[in-house]
Amino acid sequence: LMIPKTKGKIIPIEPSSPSAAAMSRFVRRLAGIPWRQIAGEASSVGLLMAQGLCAVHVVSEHVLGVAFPRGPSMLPALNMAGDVLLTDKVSPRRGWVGPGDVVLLLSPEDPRKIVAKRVLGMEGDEVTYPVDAGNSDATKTVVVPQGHIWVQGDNIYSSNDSRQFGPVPYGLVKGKMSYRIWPPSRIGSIDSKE
Amino acid sequence: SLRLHGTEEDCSDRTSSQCIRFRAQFTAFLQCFCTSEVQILPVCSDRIVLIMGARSQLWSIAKMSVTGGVIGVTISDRYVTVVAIKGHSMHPTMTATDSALRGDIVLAEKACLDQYKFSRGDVILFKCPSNHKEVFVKRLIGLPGEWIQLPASSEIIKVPQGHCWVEGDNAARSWDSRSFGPIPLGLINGRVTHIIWPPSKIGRVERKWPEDRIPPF
Repeated sequence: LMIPKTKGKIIPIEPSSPSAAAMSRFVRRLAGIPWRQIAGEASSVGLLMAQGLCAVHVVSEHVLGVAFPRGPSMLPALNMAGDVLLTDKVSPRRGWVGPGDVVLLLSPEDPRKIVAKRVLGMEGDEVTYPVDAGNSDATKTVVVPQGHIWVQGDNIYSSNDSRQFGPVPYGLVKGKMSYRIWPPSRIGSIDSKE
Repeated sequence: SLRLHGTEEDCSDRTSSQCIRFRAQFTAFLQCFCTSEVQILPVCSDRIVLIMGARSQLWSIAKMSVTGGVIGVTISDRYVTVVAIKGHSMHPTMTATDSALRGDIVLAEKACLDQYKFSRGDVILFKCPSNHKEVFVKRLIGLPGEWIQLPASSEIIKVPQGHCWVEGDNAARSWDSRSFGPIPLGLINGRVTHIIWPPSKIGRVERKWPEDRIPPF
Protein backbone atom coordinates (compact mmCIF):
# COMPACT_ATOMS: atom_id res chain seq x y z
CA LEU A 1 0.00 0.00 0.00
CA MET A 2 1.70 3.20 -1.15
CA ILE A 3 0.70 6.46 0.45
CA PRO A 4 1.30 9.42 -1.86
CA LYS A 5 3.44 12.27 -0.60
CA THR A 6 1.78 15.66 -0.53
CA LYS A 7 3.70 18.92 -0.54
CA GLY A 8 3.43 20.31 2.95
CA LYS A 9 1.73 18.68 5.80
CA ILE A 10 -0.09 15.45 5.58
CA ILE A 11 -3.44 16.03 7.19
CA PRO A 12 -4.81 12.85 8.61
CA ILE A 13 -8.53 12.46 8.23
CA GLU A 14 -10.20 10.87 11.19
CA PRO A 15 -12.61 8.24 9.94
CA SER A 16 -15.90 8.66 11.67
CA SER A 17 -17.30 5.19 11.01
CA PRO A 18 -16.13 1.77 9.76
CA SER A 19 -17.53 2.35 6.26
CA ALA A 20 -15.87 5.74 6.06
CA ALA A 21 -12.63 4.07 7.11
CA ALA A 22 -12.99 1.53 4.32
CA MET A 23 -13.70 4.36 1.85
CA SER A 24 -10.62 6.26 2.82
CA ARG A 25 -8.51 3.09 2.53
CA PHE A 26 -9.95 2.53 -0.94
CA VAL A 27 -9.24 6.11 -2.00
CA ARG A 28 -5.68 5.84 -0.76
CA ARG A 29 -5.27 2.59 -2.70
CA LEU A 30 -6.57 4.29 -5.84
CA ALA A 31 -4.24 7.21 -5.41
CA GLY A 32 -1.32 4.82 -5.01
CA ILE A 33 -1.70 3.27 -8.43
CA PRO A 34 0.77 4.81 -10.90
CA TRP A 35 -1.93 6.17 -13.23
CA ARG A 36 0.35 8.40 -15.23
CA GLN A 37 2.73 5.57 -15.97
CA ILE A 38 -0.08 3.25 -16.98
CA ALA A 39 -1.59 5.92 -19.21
CA GLY A 40 1.78 6.54 -20.82
CA GLU A 41 2.32 2.86 -21.55
CA ALA A 42 -1.23 2.37 -22.79
CA SER A 43 -1.00 5.29 -25.16
CA SER A 44 2.32 4.18 -26.59
CA VAL A 45 1.01 0.64 -27.10
CA GLY A 46 -2.14 2.06 -28.64
CA LEU A 47 -0.12 4.24 -30.98
CA LEU A 48 1.97 1.27 -32.02
CA MET A 49 -1.15 -0.78 -32.71
CA ALA A 50 -2.65 2.05 -34.76
CA GLN A 51 0.53 2.30 -36.82
CA GLY A 52 0.46 -1.46 -37.36
CA LEU A 53 -3.16 -1.42 -38.51
CA CYS A 54 -2.46 1.46 -40.87
CA ALA A 55 0.49 -0.42 -42.35
CA VAL A 56 -1.66 -3.53 -42.85
CA HIS A 57 -4.33 -1.42 -44.56
CA VAL A 58 -1.86 0.27 -46.90
CA VAL A 59 -0.24 -3.02 -47.92
CA SER A 60 -3.48 -4.96 -48.41
CA GLU A 61 -5.18 -2.13 -50.33
CA HIS A 62 -2.36 -0.89 -52.50
CA VAL A 63 0.23 -3.64 -52.80
CA LEU A 64 -0.78 -7.23 -52.16
CA GLY A 65 -3.94 -8.63 -50.64
CA VAL A 66 -5.61 -11.96 -50.08
CA ALA A 67 -8.94 -13.10 -51.50
CA PHE A 68 -11.26 -15.99 -50.68
CA PRO A 69 -13.45 -16.45 -53.76
CA ARG A 70 -16.64 -18.47 -53.45
CA GLY A 71 -19.12 -19.59 -56.04
CA PRO A 72 -19.29 -21.75 -59.16
CA SER A 73 -18.80 -19.08 -61.82
CA MET A 74 -15.05 -19.61 -62.26
CA LEU A 75 -14.93 -23.43 -62.26
CA PRO A 76 -12.66 -25.24 -63.02
CA ALA A 77 -9.96 -22.61 -62.54
CA LEU A 78 -11.20 -21.67 -59.05
CA ASN A 79 -12.91 -24.02 -56.62
CA MET A 80 -16.39 -23.33 -55.32
CA ALA A 81 -14.98 -22.58 -51.87
CA GLY A 82 -11.80 -22.95 -49.87
CA ASP A 83 -9.39 -21.29 -52.27
CA VAL A 84 -7.08 -18.57 -51.05
CA LEU A 85 -5.65 -16.31 -53.73
CA LEU A 86 -3.03 -13.59 -53.75
CA THR A 87 -4.42 -10.34 -55.13
CA ASP A 88 -2.10 -7.94 -56.83
CA LYS A 89 -3.36 -4.39 -56.28
CA VAL A 90 -0.62 -2.59 -58.18
CA SER A 91 -1.41 -3.91 -61.66
CA PRO A 92 -4.92 -2.47 -62.15
CA ARG A 93 -3.79 0.98 -61.11
CA ARG A 94 -0.97 0.89 -63.66
CA GLY A 95 -3.12 -0.60 -66.37
CA TRP A 96 -1.27 -3.95 -66.49
CA VAL A 97 -4.46 -5.94 -66.96
CA GLY A 98 -5.18 -7.77 -70.20
CA PRO A 99 -7.35 -10.48 -71.72
CA GLY A 100 -6.98 -13.80 -69.91
CA ASP A 101 -6.39 -12.27 -66.46
CA VAL A 102 -8.62 -13.16 -63.55
CA VAL A 103 -9.62 -9.93 -61.81
CA LEU A 104 -11.54 -8.86 -58.74
CA LEU A 105 -14.07 -6.15 -59.40
CA LEU A 106 -16.96 -4.42 -57.66
CA SER A 107 -20.19 -5.78 -59.04
CA PRO A 108 -22.01 -3.19 -61.20
CA GLU A 109 -25.28 -4.52 -59.80
CA ASP A 110 -24.33 -4.13 -56.12
CA PRO A 111 -21.21 -2.18 -55.18
CA ARG A 112 -20.94 -3.95 -51.85
CA LYS A 113 -20.24 -7.26 -53.62
CA ILE A 114 -16.84 -8.14 -54.99
CA VAL A 115 -16.79 -10.65 -57.84
CA ALA A 116 -13.98 -12.58 -59.52
CA LYS A 117 -14.16 -12.98 -63.29
CA ARG A 118 -11.87 -13.38 -66.26
CA VAL A 119 -11.20 -10.50 -68.64
CA LEU A 120 -12.09 -11.42 -72.20
CA GLY A 121 -11.73 -8.07 -73.91
CA MET A 122 -10.25 -4.63 -73.31
CA GLU A 123 -11.46 -1.37 -74.82
CA GLY A 124 -11.75 -1.56 -78.58
CA ASP A 125 -11.69 -5.37 -78.69
CA GLU A 126 -14.41 -7.38 -80.40
CA VAL A 127 -15.85 -10.02 -78.12
CA THR A 128 -17.95 -12.94 -79.30
CA TYR A 129 -19.95 -14.57 -76.57
CA PRO A 130 -22.62 -17.27 -76.29
CA VAL A 131 -25.95 -15.59 -75.67
CA ASP A 132 -27.74 -18.47 -74.01
CA ALA A 133 -25.18 -21.10 -73.05
CA GLY A 134 -26.58 -24.59 -72.64
CA ASN A 135 -29.79 -23.87 -74.50
CA SER A 136 -28.59 -22.66 -77.86
CA ASP A 137 -25.42 -22.10 -79.80
CA ALA A 138 -26.24 -18.52 -80.75
CA THR A 139 -23.45 -16.02 -80.26
CA LYS A 140 -23.23 -12.27 -80.41
CA THR A 141 -20.32 -9.96 -81.12
CA VAL A 142 -19.83 -6.61 -79.43
CA VAL A 143 -17.11 -3.99 -79.46
CA VAL A 144 -16.00 -3.02 -75.98
CA PRO A 145 -16.42 0.77 -75.46
CA GLN A 146 -13.61 3.08 -74.39
CA GLY A 147 -12.55 2.72 -70.78
CA HIS A 148 -14.52 -0.53 -70.35
CA ILE A 149 -13.71 -4.23 -70.18
CA TRP A 150 -15.68 -7.40 -70.89
CA VAL A 151 -15.61 -9.94 -68.07
CA GLN A 152 -16.93 -13.48 -68.13
CA GLY A 153 -16.82 -16.39 -65.76
CA ASP A 154 -15.05 -19.54 -66.93
CA ASN A 155 -18.18 -21.55 -66.12
CA ILE A 156 -20.50 -19.95 -68.65
CA TYR A 157 -23.42 -22.09 -67.55
CA SER A 158 -23.48 -20.62 -64.08
CA SER A 159 -22.07 -17.13 -64.18
CA ASN A 160 -23.56 -13.66 -63.91
CA ASP A 161 -21.18 -11.53 -65.92
CA SER A 162 -20.90 -9.10 -68.82
CA ARG A 163 -23.33 -11.26 -70.80
CA GLN A 164 -25.96 -10.02 -68.37
CA PHE A 165 -24.73 -6.63 -67.17
CA GLY A 166 -22.70 -5.52 -70.17
CA PRO A 167 -19.15 -4.22 -70.34
CA VAL A 168 -17.96 -2.70 -67.07
CA PRO A 169 -15.84 0.44 -66.59
CA TYR A 170 -12.18 -0.35 -65.89
CA GLY A 171 -12.41 1.72 -62.72
CA LEU A 172 -14.36 -1.06 -61.04
CA VAL A 173 -11.38 -3.43 -61.17
CA LYS A 174 -9.83 -3.70 -57.73
CA GLY A 175 -7.15 -6.37 -58.10
CA LYS A 176 -5.61 -9.03 -60.33
CA MET A 177 -5.37 -12.61 -59.10
CA SER A 178 -2.77 -14.87 -60.59
CA TYR A 179 -1.45 -17.01 -57.75
CA ARG A 180 -3.16 -19.48 -55.47
CA ILE A 181 -1.70 -20.20 -52.04
CA TRP A 182 -4.28 -22.70 -50.71
CA PRO A 183 -5.15 -25.61 -50.91
CA PRO A 184 -1.62 -26.99 -50.94
CA SER A 185 -2.39 -29.43 -53.74
CA ARG A 186 -3.13 -26.55 -56.11
CA ILE A 187 -0.55 -23.97 -55.09
CA GLY A 188 0.67 -22.07 -58.11
CA SER A 189 -0.57 -19.98 -60.96
CA ILE A 190 -4.22 -20.03 -61.88
CA ASP A 191 -4.80 -21.74 -65.23
CA SER A 192 -5.01 -19.16 -67.92
CA LYS A 193 -7.30 -19.63 -70.84
CA GLU A 194 -5.78 -19.64 -74.30
CA SER B 1 29.19 10.88 -32.93
CA LEU B 2 29.46 14.56 -33.69
CA ARG B 3 32.82 16.22 -33.25
CA LEU B 4 33.18 19.97 -33.37
CA HIS B 5 36.59 21.47 -33.90
CA GLY B 6 36.25 24.95 -32.55
CA THR B 7 38.15 28.12 -32.72
CA GLU B 8 38.79 30.03 -29.54
CA GLU B 9 39.58 33.59 -28.79
CA ASP B 10 42.71 32.84 -26.93
CA CYS B 11 44.28 29.61 -28.15
CA SER B 12 47.15 29.98 -25.81
CA ASP B 13 44.98 29.55 -22.79
CA ARG B 14 42.66 26.70 -23.64
CA THR B 15 42.07 25.91 -20.06
CA SER B 16 40.76 29.34 -19.16
CA SER B 17 37.46 29.12 -17.38
CA GLN B 18 35.70 31.18 -20.04
CA CYS B 19 36.68 28.75 -22.76
CA ILE B 20 35.66 25.80 -20.65
CA ARG B 21 32.29 27.36 -19.89
CA PHE B 22 31.68 28.23 -23.54
CA ARG B 23 32.48 24.69 -24.58
CA ALA B 24 30.22 23.23 -21.92
CA GLN B 25 27.30 25.43 -22.91
CA PHE B 26 27.75 24.86 -26.60
CA THR B 27 27.98 21.13 -26.03
CA ALA B 28 24.73 21.18 -24.08
CA PHE B 29 23.06 23.23 -26.82
CA LEU B 30 24.10 20.85 -29.58
CA GLN B 31 23.22 17.79 -27.52
CA CYS B 32 19.58 18.80 -27.78
CA PHE B 33 19.66 18.13 -31.50
CA CYS B 34 21.75 15.01 -31.64
CA THR B 35 20.78 11.57 -30.49
CA SER B 36 24.39 10.50 -30.18
CA GLU B 37 27.08 12.03 -28.06
CA VAL B 38 28.44 15.48 -28.88
CA GLN B 39 32.09 16.22 -28.21
CA ILE B 40 33.79 19.56 -28.72
CA LEU B 41 37.55 19.23 -29.03
CA PRO B 42 39.57 22.31 -28.17
CA VAL B 43 41.67 22.56 -31.28
CA CYS B 44 43.04 25.83 -32.43
CA SER B 45 42.03 26.23 -36.04
CA ASP B 46 40.74 28.86 -38.38
CA ARG B 47 37.34 27.48 -39.04
CA ILE B 48 34.62 25.60 -37.27
CA VAL B 49 34.05 22.25 -38.92
CA LEU B 50 30.91 20.33 -38.19
CA ILE B 51 31.32 16.67 -38.96
CA MET B 52 27.84 15.36 -39.28
CA GLY B 53 28.01 11.69 -38.38
CA ALA B 54 24.31 12.01 -38.39
CA ARG B 55 23.21 8.70 -39.81
CA SER B 56 20.89 8.23 -36.88
CA GLN B 57 19.29 11.60 -37.62
CA LEU B 58 18.49 10.68 -41.21
CA TRP B 59 17.19 7.31 -40.07
CA SER B 60 14.78 8.78 -37.56
CA ILE B 61 13.59 11.37 -40.08
CA ALA B 62 12.99 8.57 -42.58
CA LYS B 63 11.09 6.52 -40.00
CA MET B 64 8.88 9.46 -39.07
CA SER B 65 8.04 10.31 -42.65
CA VAL B 66 7.18 6.70 -43.55
CA THR B 67 4.93 6.42 -40.48
CA GLY B 68 3.29 9.73 -41.26
CA GLY B 69 2.80 8.74 -44.88
CA VAL B 70 1.22 5.40 -43.98
CA ILE B 71 -1.15 6.98 -41.48
CA GLY B 72 -2.01 9.73 -43.96
CA VAL B 73 -2.80 7.23 -46.73
CA THR B 74 -5.01 5.21 -44.38
CA ILE B 75 -6.96 8.27 -43.27
CA SER B 76 -7.30 9.44 -46.86
CA ASP B 77 -8.60 6.04 -47.96
CA ARG B 78 -11.08 5.40 -45.16
CA TYR B 79 -12.22 8.61 -43.52
CA VAL B 80 -11.62 11.97 -45.18
CA THR B 81 -9.61 13.25 -48.10
CA VAL B 82 -8.76 16.61 -49.66
CA VAL B 83 -9.33 17.25 -53.37
CA ALA B 84 -8.65 20.24 -55.60
CA ILE B 85 -11.37 21.04 -58.11
CA LYS B 86 -10.45 21.23 -61.76
CA GLY B 87 -13.13 21.91 -64.32
CA HIS B 88 -16.14 24.16 -64.37
CA SER B 89 -18.99 21.71 -64.26
CA MET B 90 -20.03 22.57 -60.70
CA HIS B 91 -20.01 26.34 -61.00
CA PRO B 92 -21.09 28.28 -58.92
CA THR B 93 -21.05 25.78 -56.07
CA MET B 94 -17.41 25.06 -56.74
CA THR B 95 -15.12 26.86 -59.12
CA ALA B 96 -11.80 26.04 -60.67
CA THR B 97 -9.17 28.21 -62.20
CA ASP B 98 -6.20 27.34 -64.33
CA SER B 99 -3.84 27.52 -61.39
CA ALA B 100 -4.22 24.59 -59.00
CA LEU B 101 -3.69 26.77 -55.94
CA ARG B 102 -6.44 29.24 -56.67
CA GLY B 103 -9.10 26.71 -57.55
CA ASP B 104 -11.45 25.48 -54.87
CA ILE B 105 -10.24 22.82 -52.47
CA VAL B 106 -12.84 20.55 -50.90
CA LEU B 107 -13.07 17.95 -48.17
CA ALA B 108 -14.58 14.60 -49.11
CA GLU B 109 -15.65 11.90 -46.67
CA LYS B 110 -15.28 8.19 -47.30
CA ALA B 111 -17.61 6.79 -44.66
CA CYS B 112 -20.42 6.69 -47.23
CA LEU B 113 -18.50 3.98 -49.15
CA ASP B 114 -19.20 1.48 -46.40
CA GLN B 115 -22.83 0.86 -47.34
CA TYR B 116 -23.08 2.95 -50.52
CA LYS B 117 -26.08 4.79 -49.10
CA PHE B 118 -26.44 8.17 -50.74
CA SER B 119 -29.16 10.81 -50.88
CA ARG B 120 -30.50 12.79 -53.75
CA GLY B 121 -28.59 16.05 -54.11
CA ASP B 122 -25.29 14.81 -52.63
CA VAL B 123 -22.15 16.04 -54.33
CA ILE B 124 -19.95 13.03 -55.05
CA LEU B 125 -16.50 12.23 -56.42
CA PHE B 126 -16.28 9.37 -58.89
CA LYS B 127 -13.98 7.87 -61.48
CA CYS B 128 -14.83 8.69 -65.06
CA PRO B 129 -16.37 5.62 -66.74
CA SER B 130 -14.33 6.08 -69.89
CA ASN B 131 -11.03 6.88 -68.22
CA HIS B 132 -10.34 5.36 -64.82
CA LYS B 133 -7.52 7.80 -64.09
CA GLU B 134 -9.76 10.90 -64.07
CA VAL B 135 -11.91 11.83 -61.09
CA PHE B 136 -15.07 13.87 -61.58
CA VAL B 137 -17.21 15.79 -59.10
CA LYS B 138 -20.94 16.07 -59.80
CA ARG B 139 -24.26 16.10 -58.02
CA LEU B 140 -26.28 12.91 -57.55
CA ILE B 141 -29.64 13.31 -59.25
CA GLY B 142 -31.01 9.78 -59.48
CA LEU B 143 -30.62 6.86 -57.08
CA PRO B 144 -30.77 3.19 -58.11
CA GLY B 145 -34.21 2.09 -59.17
CA GLU B 146 -35.65 5.58 -59.63
CA TRP B 147 -37.33 6.99 -62.70
CA ILE B 148 -36.00 10.41 -63.66
CA GLN B 149 -36.84 12.85 -66.38
CA LEU B 150 -34.05 14.02 -68.65
CA PRO B 151 -33.89 17.81 -68.51
CA ALA B 152 -33.80 18.63 -72.20
CA SER B 153 -36.24 16.15 -73.67
CA SER B 154 -39.32 14.74 -72.04
CA GLU B 155 -37.81 11.28 -71.89
CA ILE B 156 -38.21 9.28 -68.73
CA ILE B 157 -35.57 6.70 -67.92
CA LYS B 158 -35.04 4.25 -65.11
CA VAL B 159 -31.75 4.21 -63.26
CA PRO B 160 -30.64 0.53 -63.12
CA GLN B 161 -29.85 -1.25 -59.85
CA GLY B 162 -26.37 -0.51 -58.55
CA HIS B 163 -26.10 2.64 -60.71
CA CYS B 164 -26.78 6.35 -60.25
CA TRP B 165 -27.45 9.41 -62.40
CA VAL B 166 -25.11 12.37 -61.94
CA GLU B 167 -25.27 15.89 -63.30
CA GLY B 168 -23.16 18.98 -62.81
CA ASP B 169 -24.63 22.21 -61.45
CA ASN B 170 -23.35 24.13 -64.46
CA ALA B 171 -25.45 22.35 -67.06
CA ALA B 172 -23.89 24.12 -70.00
CA ARG B 173 -20.34 23.01 -69.24
CA SER B 174 -20.83 19.66 -67.60
CA TRP B 175 -19.99 16.31 -69.15
CA ASP B 176 -22.13 13.99 -67.09
CA SER B 177 -24.75 11.26 -67.20
CA ARG B 178 -26.57 13.08 -69.98
CA SER B 179 -23.61 12.01 -72.16
CA PHE B 180 -22.27 8.79 -70.62
CA GLY B 181 -25.39 7.43 -68.98
CA PRO B 182 -25.86 6.16 -65.44
CA ILE B 183 -22.64 5.17 -63.67
CA PRO B 184 -22.09 2.15 -61.40
CA LEU B 185 -22.00 3.08 -57.71
CA GLY B 186 -18.69 1.22 -57.46
CA LEU B 187 -16.96 4.08 -59.27
CA ILE B 188 -17.76 6.53 -56.48
CA ASN B 189 -14.73 7.72 -54.52
CA GLY B 190 -16.34 9.83 -51.81
CA ARG B 191 -18.89 12.48 -50.90
CA VAL B 192 -17.95 16.16 -50.79
CA THR B 193 -18.95 17.75 -47.49
CA HIS B 194 -17.05 21.03 -47.11
CA ILE B 195 -15.16 23.62 -49.10
CA ILE B 196 -11.96 24.57 -47.30
CA TRP B 197 -10.41 27.03 -49.76
CA PRO B 198 -10.71 29.93 -50.63
CA PRO B 199 -11.54 31.43 -47.24
CA SER B 200 -14.49 33.35 -48.65
CA LYS B 201 -16.19 30.09 -49.55
CA ILE B 202 -15.43 28.03 -46.47
CA GLY B 203 -18.48 26.12 -45.34
CA ARG B 204 -20.61 23.05 -45.84
CA VAL B 205 -21.59 21.87 -49.29
CA GLU B 206 -25.33 21.48 -48.93
CA ARG B 207 -27.45 18.74 -50.36
CA LYS B 208 -29.42 20.67 -52.94
CA TRP B 209 -32.02 19.78 -55.49
CA PRO B 210 -31.76 21.85 -58.71
CA GLU B 211 -34.71 24.16 -59.16
CA ASP B 212 -37.15 23.55 -61.97
CA ARG B 213 -36.26 19.87 -61.93
CA ILE B 214 -39.01 17.40 -61.33
CA PRO B 215 -38.00 15.12 -58.46
CA PRO B 216 -37.76 11.45 -59.38
CA PHE B 217 -40.33 8.88 -58.45
